[in-house]
Parts: sequence; C-alpha cells; structure tokens
Amino acid sequence: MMEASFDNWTVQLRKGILEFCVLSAMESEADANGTYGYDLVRRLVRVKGLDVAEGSIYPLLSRMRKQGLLRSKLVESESGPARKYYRLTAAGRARVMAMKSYYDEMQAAVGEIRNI
Amino acid sequence: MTMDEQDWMTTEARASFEEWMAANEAGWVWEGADPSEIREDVEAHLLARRGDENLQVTREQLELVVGEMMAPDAEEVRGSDGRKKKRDLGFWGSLVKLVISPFRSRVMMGIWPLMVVMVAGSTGMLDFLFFDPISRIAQLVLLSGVGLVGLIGHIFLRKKQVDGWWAFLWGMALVPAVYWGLFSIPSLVMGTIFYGYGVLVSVGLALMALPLFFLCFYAAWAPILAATGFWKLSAGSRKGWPWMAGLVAGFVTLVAVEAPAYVTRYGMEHDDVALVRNWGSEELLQQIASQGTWQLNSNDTSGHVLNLGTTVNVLDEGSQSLEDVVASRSFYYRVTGRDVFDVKSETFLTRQLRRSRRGDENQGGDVVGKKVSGLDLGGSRLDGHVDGASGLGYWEWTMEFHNSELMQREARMQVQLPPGGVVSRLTLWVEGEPQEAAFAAKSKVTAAYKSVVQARRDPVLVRWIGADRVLVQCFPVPERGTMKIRLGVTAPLDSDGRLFLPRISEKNFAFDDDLETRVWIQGDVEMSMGGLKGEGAHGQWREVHGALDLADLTASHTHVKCEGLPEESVVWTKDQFAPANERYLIREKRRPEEAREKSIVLVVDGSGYFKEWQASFQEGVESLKNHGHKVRVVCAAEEGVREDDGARFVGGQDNMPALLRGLEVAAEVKADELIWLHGDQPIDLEGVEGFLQLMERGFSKVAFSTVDLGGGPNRLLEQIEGRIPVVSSGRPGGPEDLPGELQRVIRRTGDGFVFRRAPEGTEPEGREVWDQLARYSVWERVMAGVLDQGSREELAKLAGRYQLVTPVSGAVVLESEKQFEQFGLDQVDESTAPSIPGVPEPSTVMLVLISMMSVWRRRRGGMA
Repeated sequence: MMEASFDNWTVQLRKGILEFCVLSAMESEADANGTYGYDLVRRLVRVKGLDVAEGSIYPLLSRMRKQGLLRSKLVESESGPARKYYRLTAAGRARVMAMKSYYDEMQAAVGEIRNI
Repeated sequence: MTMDEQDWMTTEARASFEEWMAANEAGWVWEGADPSEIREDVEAHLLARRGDENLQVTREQLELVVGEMMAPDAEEVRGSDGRKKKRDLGFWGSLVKLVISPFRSRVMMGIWPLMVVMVAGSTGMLDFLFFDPISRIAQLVLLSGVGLVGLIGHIFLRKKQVDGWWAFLWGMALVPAVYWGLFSIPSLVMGTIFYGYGVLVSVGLALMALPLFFLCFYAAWAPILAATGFWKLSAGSRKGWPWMAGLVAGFVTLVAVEAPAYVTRYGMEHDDVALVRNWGSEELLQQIASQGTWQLNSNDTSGHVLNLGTTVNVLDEGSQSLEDVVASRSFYYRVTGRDVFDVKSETFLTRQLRRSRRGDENQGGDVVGKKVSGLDLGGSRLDGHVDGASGLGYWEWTMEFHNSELMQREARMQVQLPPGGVVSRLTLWVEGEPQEAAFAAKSKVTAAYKSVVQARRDPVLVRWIGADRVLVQCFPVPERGTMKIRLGVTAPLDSDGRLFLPRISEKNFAFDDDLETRVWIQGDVEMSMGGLKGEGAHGQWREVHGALDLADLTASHTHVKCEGLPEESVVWTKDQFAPANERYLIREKRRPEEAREKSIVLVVDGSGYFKEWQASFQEGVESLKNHGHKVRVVCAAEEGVREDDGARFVGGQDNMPALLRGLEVAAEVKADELIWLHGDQPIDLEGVEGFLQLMERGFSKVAFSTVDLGGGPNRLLEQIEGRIPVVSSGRPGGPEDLPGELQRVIRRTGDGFVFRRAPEGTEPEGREVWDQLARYSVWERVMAGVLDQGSREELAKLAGRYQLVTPVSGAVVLESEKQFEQFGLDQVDESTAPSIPGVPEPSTVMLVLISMMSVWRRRRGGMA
C-alpha cells in the first residue's frame, strides 16, 4: 500500500513539474524561429530523473498552445518534412516567470523544513 | 514522402498507433489538448527519428516513443526501483475496471456472435424487448466468420505484417460489422433508458438484474467494437485494392445473406406468394408465422429496418393482432404448402432455447396449436377386433404421454378415425386405475373439461370435429410425469373388406422417429396387414400382430385387409341400451344398385404435394373414362382455378374457389358425383359458407365425396362435414392406390343397409353378431339427424346413451365421482363399455363343459 501511494506521489510531482520544465527550456534555448519541437522533446527525454517519454510531451505542448502560452509555426526543411517550431507568447513568458518564482519559494521552503 | 502517405509505418505499427490514439483521445480532450495536433506532432516526431527514409517505422520503434505515453496519466507507473507497476485501483476502482474491460477487449470481436446467440437464446431479452440480431442460420454463419477473422486478427497477427489477403478480410469483415453495429445503437440507448426506468419504478430492486443488463449491453456493444476494430486493423491498408475488394466482397455477401429476408417482408406486405417462394427466406417466414400475438412481427434485422417505430415490444407497440398472426400463418401455408405448426422443429438455436420456457397459448382451447416442449408420446399400442358378419371393427388405442418439463402440459391431438368411424370408449388411468368416461352433450362435457383444466385436475376430453376426426385433449400431463389414455373406435369395413387404422393427423407433442406401436388385430375372418409378420389362431379367432413405426402410421393411411367375409344378408344383436320393446336390432342388406355410367366432376388440390400424385391421378381419370364415365377436372391453382392441364402444383392452395367452380360445373353437366381430392388444409383461407350455401340450397343435386391424400388437418372439411352429407371417403395408401380408390368411391352407392327393431321375447331371424352393431346404427342415426337438423338435445341424449362421440356429443373423464356429480355427468359403467373380445381361459372352458355335462345328465335323469 505504501509503495502504491509513493508511486502516485511521484507521478503527480513529475506531472506538475513537467510543464514548468518545458516552458523553462523554451525560454532559454530559442533560436530565431523559436524552439524546434523534436529537439525540445529529445532534450527533455535525455534529462536524467525527469523520466519522461517522448510522446508524452506533445499533448502538453498542444494544451499549452490552446491555452495561449505558446504559439507554433511550420518551417520548411531541406532535409525532410516541414518542422514545427514553438515560441513563448507574452502570457507564456509571464507564466514561466510566475512558475519560477513559485518554484524557488517552494524549494526554499522545502529546504528550510528539511534543515530543521 | 508526405505525412499523408502512410506506408512509412508498418501495418502493425499503424494499427498500434491508432489504438494508442484511440485509448488516449478522450483524456487529451478533457485536459484541453487537440488530438489531431498531437497526431501530427507525434507522426512528425517519428519521421524525424526514423533516420533512413527507406525503412518503415516498426511497432517496436513506435513503442519506444509512445509506449510509455500513458505512464504519468494512466494505470502504469514506475516504482522507486524503476520498474513498471500497476496502480492500485482499490475495490471500487477494480470493480469499475472489471465492468468496463469487456467494452475494450478485442477478444469480444471473436466471441461476439456466440455471445449474442447465447444471450438472446438463454434470456430471450434481445428478441422479446427489441429485436433478434441473429435470427437465421445464414446470419450466424456470416457473423461467425466475421468473429473468427477478428479473433485471429487480434490474437495471432499482432506482431506480423498483415496486408494482402488479410487486408481483404479486414475490409470484408468490416461491412457486416458496421451493419450490425448500426442496429446496436438504438438497442443500447433504449435498453439503458428502460433499465434505468425499471430501477426507478422498482425502487432499486431491478439493480439485482444488473449483471444481466451488462450481459445484454456487452452483446449489443460487441458489433460496434468489432467495426472499430476492423477499421483500425486496416489502418495501413485502406488505400490498397485488397481492402477495397474486401469491402465489395463484404457488401455482396451481406446482400446475399440479408436480401432474402427483405424480399420476404416485401412479399408478405404485397401478398406476393411467388416472389417469396422463389427469392425469399423460408426460415424467416417460418419464424414470423410461428409467432404468437405477444411477439414482435418485426424482430429480426429486416423487420427492424422496415418497421422502424414499432420495434419496442415493452411499450406494446410492436406486438401483433390475432389477425396478423393468422395472416402470417396462412401466407406460410400458401408459400410452402405446410402448416407452420406442423414443421418438425423450429430452425434456429435461439428459438429452440427459448421455446422451452414459453407457455402453451392453446391450453384448454379448441385447437391443437403449436408443439410444446418436453411433451412426448412415449408408448402406443393398438388392439383390434373384426367381426366379419356385421362388417364392423373395433380398435382400442392406448397411448402414454411423457412430460420432461417442470411444468404441467396439455397433450392435444386430432385423431383421424377410419372412414365412418366413431369413438365409442374413452378411458383415463388415474393413479394407476382405469376410469371410464361420461358421454354427454358436447357443450356439457366441454364445459366440464375447461372448468377442470382451470382447476388443474385430471381430465381427458374427446370431441368430434368433422372429417372423420376427433380432437383429444389430456390435461395435465404432470411435470416429469406420464398420463395414459385409451380411445375405443368402432368403424365399418369398406366394400373391399378393409378396416383402416386410426391415425394422428395433428398433434402438439413429439415422438421418437423409431417409436413403434404394437398392433394386435383378431377376428373371425382371415386377415393380413403390411408390416405385421406375426399371424395365427388365438382361441376361436384368427389374428395378426407385430410392431409398426408410429411415424409410418402417422404418415399414410394404413388398413387391415379382411378376406372371406361371410355373406350374411340379415344379422341382429341384442341392444342393451334399448327399451324392451326394441331390444333386438336387425339389419338387412339393401339390394345393391346396378353399376351405371356416371358424370363425375373431380376437384383437385393444386398444392405442391400433388406433384407425386399427378401421374397416378391421370391414370385414374383415364380408367374412369374407360369405364364409360364422363369426367371433368377442376384444379385449385395459384391463379385461382384451372380446368386445363396447366396447373403447376406449388405451395399451398386455397381449394374453396375450385370447389365452388366444381359445383357450378356439376350443375352445368348435371353431374352425379363431385369428388374432392385433397391433401391437408391446415388453414381456412376463405371460409366454406359459399360452398355450403350452394349445397344446402340444392344448387346441384350432386353427391359429394372426398379422397384424402394427406391425412393431416383439413379445416374446410371439418366445417363441411356435419352440415352436408359426405357420402364417401377414399383413403389411398399411396399414389399407386389412387386409380383403384377412385373406382371404389364411385362404386360405393351400391352399399347400404336397412335397420328395424324387434321386442324382447321374439326370436330374430339371421345371424347374431356383437353389440357394436347397435352402437354403429345409432351413430348413423345421429349423423342423419344432425344433417336433417333434428333436435340436438334429443340426439345428444341418444348418443350419450350409446356412449358415442358425435357432432352433438363428447366424452370426458374426470378425476373423481364427485366431479362427475358436480357437472351432472354419468360415468360409463365399465361392464357396458365395448371391449376387445377375449379368449376364455382353459379352466373356464373346462368349467363350462362340466356344467353343460351336469345339466345334460340331470335332464337325462329327469327324462328317465
């Protein structure tokens, strides 16, 4: 029973943090066209500990786009099919700032508690 | 390569991809994402990740990308050790998962047809409430094939490349799956609404039937699952020709299976008998015609489509009127020439399963009706006696009914008596003891029987219904028990010395094909009978005995042939039922008429069975003409009446138009004889009043005779006989007998007797014969009285006194003396009932001899 509840806790934690990770990654590594979706996903998957599948990021991107946090555009590619690039909108940038602030506060609070 | 081209992914990978999409789509929409965008993004991701553009993305590669897609959201999670684990759903979560799992399980695709048949058959709910999705063998075969293809597809082909022939099969199976899936949607919606309503009005009690509800729901859901399954399976091959060809093949197959059903319904609606006979489904027609008023007429797929709006039986909108039921049964007869109730077994599993739990709608009624399950004739014996001098025979037919059901059953049958025969004894075994009947007015015994049937006690009833037939009803044959009865029949030998056996012409029970009837026939003349090997002397009687298949006896007319009949012109008997001043009944033979040339009109039943009689009929007609008779033939045909040789002999024909035309012809040519050659007429299609009116009003003075080629029920003759004289009844044993039988029917006018009475104390002239002569003379007197419209009350009393079942009297056995008293009936004293004469035991013979000797000695002593 304890293991099951722990598993649920990790799932919820990862789920909550993943959106923040995606937005943060887009803010820091955009080029002229924005962030190439495929590269973004591959990069996130390679991050150890995040434990996320490639396919699971696309629904997140779709949802955030529909929420107005991102916008996307297709850019023709010489080496294959058109590529999809994402860029943060103003609302997206505001959201990532707010998330960052909250996350820092939360991390500090957790650190404080753990040092007591 | 563009995104639209789907061959960059293997068929198997495509199928998995589609499955993955379908499984997550609802969740994504709920979260606010766009599934079509996700599809595009993941496909772009897969293309970018593929590397070599000449290779196809395999299922394994796909799983690397999407395999753990559901990990954060669904049931699979990673534990602290990194391994996948099932999420604990708890009791209620597990229960919900268990309930939902059949809706997702592709295995349902394969077992679906079987499941539908079992659910429909065992519960009757699909059929009774809505419709029967698989009601015909062709449908079962088609859907079993579809199920098999689906099962193989999902169990064995998951890890292989499937296209070509498999793509063809996916396409072919998709069409019927979609067709049946469409039928399921209204059933699912309506079923849920009705069940929900049922739960509400029963204050939750109906929740006890929740598993049954889910079972029905799964069965209805399965074709939808199958359709979506075949669609997904063919995801990678939908633009190829095999899949397209499969669609076409599926459509053609579906049309081949379903078209006959639609043709049948169209033909019934437009009264097109030929169309249904040639292109319709006899199986469906049989199902429709055998339904009761409580059932939907439209409860198969074709009916569901053509009768939208009247498909909800629980609202009583789809059940049928009695007229509809009768019309369907008549239509079946006209198409096939058979009575639907007489069809050996209903043709489909679901109906066979259901039938056993259904009641008997004709119980305690006036018709034989449908066969009831579990009721069998388990034993039968016939004992007979022939008295040569009186020219009369007597049969005792003992039958034992078995009921294997857990409910009481009523056994009903029409028994065809020998020509001119009359029931003169009825016995029922009550707790092992034989109980004799009471003979009284038909209305009186019928009222007693019906009253007792309602009280569920022990009666047996025999009523005369015309056409040498009686209706026998026995109730109750107890649950898992037996009931034994005996029927005594007095009958005359015909002019050729033949005594016919009684036979079952209609019944609501079954018997084994190899059930034999033990036959024993004795008499004072030489006798022979086909199939009976044993013969010899038995006391003063000659006898033949053996066993005959009851099925053979039921299928054709059978007789005992008597040779060397004594030429007695005057015989007499002591009449125990007559007053003293009429104690002796004397019969004198009338001087035979001289044979003469006659004008004959033959009315022929043009139904399908007559084909096998056609050649011998022509032979018979030629033979009549060769004997100098003038012959006209009128044939009942599909187009009405034919008087040429063009009749086709198909289906079941209404004979009444031909009989009316036959009467017109008889009047035109002043015919002496109108002879109706008929088979079974289980349906009264038009009524007989027109014919009776012409006969009763003397439109033609023709003598009316019949030749019975079938031996089954004849609704027309049942109404005719007893209203007008039927002067002779021919019974050919087979086509080869027909020419001779026609000659015999013509000759019959030479026979005849005159009866007179003499008081006690006189010595009648001629030879003494058994008392059956008295019974038989009264039978003829009652029949003549009925035709002359004499007092039915007086005739009923007379018939009752002589223990006869006639048009005005019947016989009933009740359980106790109290019951007989209750209904004012007098039970027959066994000593006055007819019986098969026995052979005295040797000791008895010795005692008689000793007595005679002592009387002789005393007389000698006295004289001395």
